[in-house]
Amino acid sequence: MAYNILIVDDSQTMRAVLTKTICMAGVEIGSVFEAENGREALDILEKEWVDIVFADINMPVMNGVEMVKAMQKLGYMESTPVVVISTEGSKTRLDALRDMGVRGFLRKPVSPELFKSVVDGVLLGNAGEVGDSAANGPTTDASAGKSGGDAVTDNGSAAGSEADAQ
Amino acid sequence: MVLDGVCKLILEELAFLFCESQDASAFDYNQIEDALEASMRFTGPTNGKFEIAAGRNLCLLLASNILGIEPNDEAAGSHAADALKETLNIMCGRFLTEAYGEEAIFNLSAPVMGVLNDLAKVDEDAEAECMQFFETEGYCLVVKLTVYKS
Repeated sequence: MAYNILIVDDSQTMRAVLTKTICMAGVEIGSVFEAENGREALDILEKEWVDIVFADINMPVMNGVEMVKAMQKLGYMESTPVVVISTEGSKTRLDALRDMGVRGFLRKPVSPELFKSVVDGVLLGNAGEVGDSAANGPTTDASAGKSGGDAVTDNGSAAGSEADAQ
Repeated sequence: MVLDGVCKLILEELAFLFCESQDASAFDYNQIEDALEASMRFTGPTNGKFEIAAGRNLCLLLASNILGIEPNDEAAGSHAADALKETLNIMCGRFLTEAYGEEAIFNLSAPVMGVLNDLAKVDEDAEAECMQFFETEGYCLVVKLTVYKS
């Protein structure tokens, strides 16, 4: 199955890197949509079918938290998984995003291996094992409340421990 | 020490650049005369500003390493400033977590390009300032952290 992907980041460099990382991770891509901020992302979601959203938090115009809130309000969160890829390190903020339905977290800079682990977990419910990466570890939803996990997914499959990512 | 370590780690993880710290007292500011400068502010338990300055050639190297292309590739030129901003963004986010812990919530401004002023100039509103000097691949890079009085 080919996935339609939406990348939301104000940095054109990070959008380019993420696109490359997605390809390297072996994710079958249908279309890749890009947005510079949450507002643009919502416009795309209104017009296009998107299978997964990768979003930064710190963006001008509409940041990632505001975007997730809007997606929640518009009912997108149930059908469109969101993975936050950010520099954010606040567990408090990540927990709040998780409560809003964000399915995975990755902290920049993202390695293809960690990326694949989280994406597999979110799209396939099949999070792979990842190495120790407390400073760079991805988490997905099921890691909420755990400590020491790196990659966990919404369906409860866990790969790692610390909820450190963003 | 936290700032020094974070900067080195991010440059290594993000752009595969291995840095050596340089002695501040011996730093020759002429080395960054043509530098691009980016800055961003943070608010939260502490308010402050992060700045980064690097010469254009180092910015090209940053962009090309991040993107996995050659430094003389046309795309590296168009990504040079953005790569510097994103490097700063990641350093700032990582530093704040390392320094203040995972419970602290900070709001970060989007990084912006600016004009390189006198980095050594003391900000009157600053409670504390810290500058770190690095050398990598024959190029210099400066990171400055300013913490404002609350």
